[in-house]
Amino acid sequence: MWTVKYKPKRLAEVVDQAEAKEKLLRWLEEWKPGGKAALLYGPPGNGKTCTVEALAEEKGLDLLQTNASDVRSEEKIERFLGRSVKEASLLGTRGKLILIDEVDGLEASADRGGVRAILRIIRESAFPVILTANDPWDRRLYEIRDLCELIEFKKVPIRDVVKRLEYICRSEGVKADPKLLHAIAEKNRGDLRGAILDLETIAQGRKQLTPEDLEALGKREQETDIFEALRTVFKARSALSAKLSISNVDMDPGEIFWWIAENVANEYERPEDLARAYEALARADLFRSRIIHRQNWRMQAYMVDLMTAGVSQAKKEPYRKFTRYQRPERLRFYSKTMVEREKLNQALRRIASRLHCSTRKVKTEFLPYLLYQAKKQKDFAEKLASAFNLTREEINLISSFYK
Amino acid sequence: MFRVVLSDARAWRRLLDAISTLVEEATFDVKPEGMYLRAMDPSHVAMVDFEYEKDAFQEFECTEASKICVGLGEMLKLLKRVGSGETLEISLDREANRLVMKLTGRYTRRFALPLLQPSTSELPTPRLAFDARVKLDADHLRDAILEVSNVSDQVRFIAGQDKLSLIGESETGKVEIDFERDNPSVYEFNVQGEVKALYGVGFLEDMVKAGSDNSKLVSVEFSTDKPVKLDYELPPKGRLTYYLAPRIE
Repeated sequence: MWTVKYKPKRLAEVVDQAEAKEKLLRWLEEWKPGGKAALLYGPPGNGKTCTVEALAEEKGLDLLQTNASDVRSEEKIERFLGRSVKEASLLGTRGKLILIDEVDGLEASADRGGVRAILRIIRESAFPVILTANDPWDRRLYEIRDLCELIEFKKVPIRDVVKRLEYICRSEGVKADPKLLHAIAEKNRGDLRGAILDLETIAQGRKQLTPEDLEALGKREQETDIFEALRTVFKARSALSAKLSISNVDMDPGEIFWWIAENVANEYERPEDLARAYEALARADLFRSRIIHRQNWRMQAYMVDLMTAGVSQAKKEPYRKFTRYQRPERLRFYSKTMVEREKLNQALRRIASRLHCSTRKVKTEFLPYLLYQAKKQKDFAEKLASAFNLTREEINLISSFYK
Repeated sequence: MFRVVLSDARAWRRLLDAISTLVEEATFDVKPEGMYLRAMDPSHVAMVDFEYEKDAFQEFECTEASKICVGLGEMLKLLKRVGSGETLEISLDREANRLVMKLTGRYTRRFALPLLQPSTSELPTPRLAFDARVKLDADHLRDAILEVSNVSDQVRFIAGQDKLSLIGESETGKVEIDFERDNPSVYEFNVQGEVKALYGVGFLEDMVKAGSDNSKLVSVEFSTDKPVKLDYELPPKGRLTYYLAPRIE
């Protein structure tokens, strides 16, 4: 396996990720028992696990590696790590480094215990703990996230993927057309491991590679983009193909829901069609909220069926026309206000901890009253700021959200 | 060719139990001289070293050295209903890639279970020098650790000139156990200076329970802030040794 053979042995050999490596090193240096864990996140195949392995090698630490998607029940994690987070290593190395790979592989409902076990390990470990995840914003990880320093691993730029592939070809004595390497890199979109795997598949037992060889790979998990999927949902006659259309989209169903809801009115023209489609979406939305509130991900199947097949079957006849699909307004708003919302939440959290209640309660029950008072009394805002230890800017931010 | 007969199938099950506290799969080294196993738990905190020499078996046939890897959970499940006085014959069916166990006693039972891919990595013997060595009753050590486990998840071993103390302390209370040098259940006492170390009770508990099931005597060896070695003799010709890394304070 070339992915093993050409695995970086030292941090410097890890392709790119200079910023992440620096952050990780600093975190390790400053780490003390009881400190935060490091959560490395980013798309697959860009060197998260490799970096940790190289780090352990370089610092002479015994690496305890476990994959959360293999070992994910509380009992298993406890068995593997729980009894050993405070003990030295028998192998007599200078220390240990604990790596829990793919924490987003924990399944929500069945693995509540898994999250609990990981939290306990982070809190109690006498050694630094590193976690990896593709999507750190996963709802299931929110408790874990609070105990972690987040370190982003970016997609590997295409030219660097190509460079690495060239290096491997040279070492293996394989002559490859630059166009082919470029195509492999492009296809894998920042996934260096995937690119190396592809190269190895193509190069099996051959020394000369041409651009046509790319076809040998076939259509391995080719990603469809969201627009393609939307077209299928809206145009398909069969419920099944509408349902399957979203399975290869790199986006979670909750997000795809907004895409469909946003664009359905552009596609469907007959009012009856539209009514039926919205009915299906409303039902899907019901399940969406049940999933979120009860953390019952089993419901996702119903949500997906309703929003894809349900919407698809709402039409009497497919519309023979071209529709330009657009990005959901809602998502655009979210990404635009991400920084602001984070600041607001910070302020709310500070108030919440003073008032011994949740941020939601602050938002819905206390703030409207406080801000009303602030409007009526002149120095009330000042008092508020000093009582809750808020800056002027934060007060303004909060009040702007209630206009 | 490999075939062994054990006159006491129950004792064998207890030994497997002892190994299974640390690992799920066991790779036995079978040699013309006997059966050996060395395994480390996946977190590199504890290790078990097991030796059962040829003479410990009722019959022992092994023409060439090989490795046998089995899932301990499966093997133990099959041996669950072993009665006292039953004999166990273990052999290999290389063709079907299986381990065959034959139990005779009340009636004859034959079990076959798949052989697993043996691990190839050789674990080194930990190179440790011990400043304290105390040989005592295995049951007493087990009871002491269990007492400590009532109040704490860690136990401090302190050995001085005249006694070995095990101390556990937490908000729920304190347990202190002394094995005096001149106590009749202490058979050997060899300590240089004052030796102190802290160990997790979780692993220790499993080790001392399994150890005392298999042996009457245990020698406890450790040095300040270094691993502890628990050595159980398995008469007539065997040995079960555990190593456990200390806790970091």
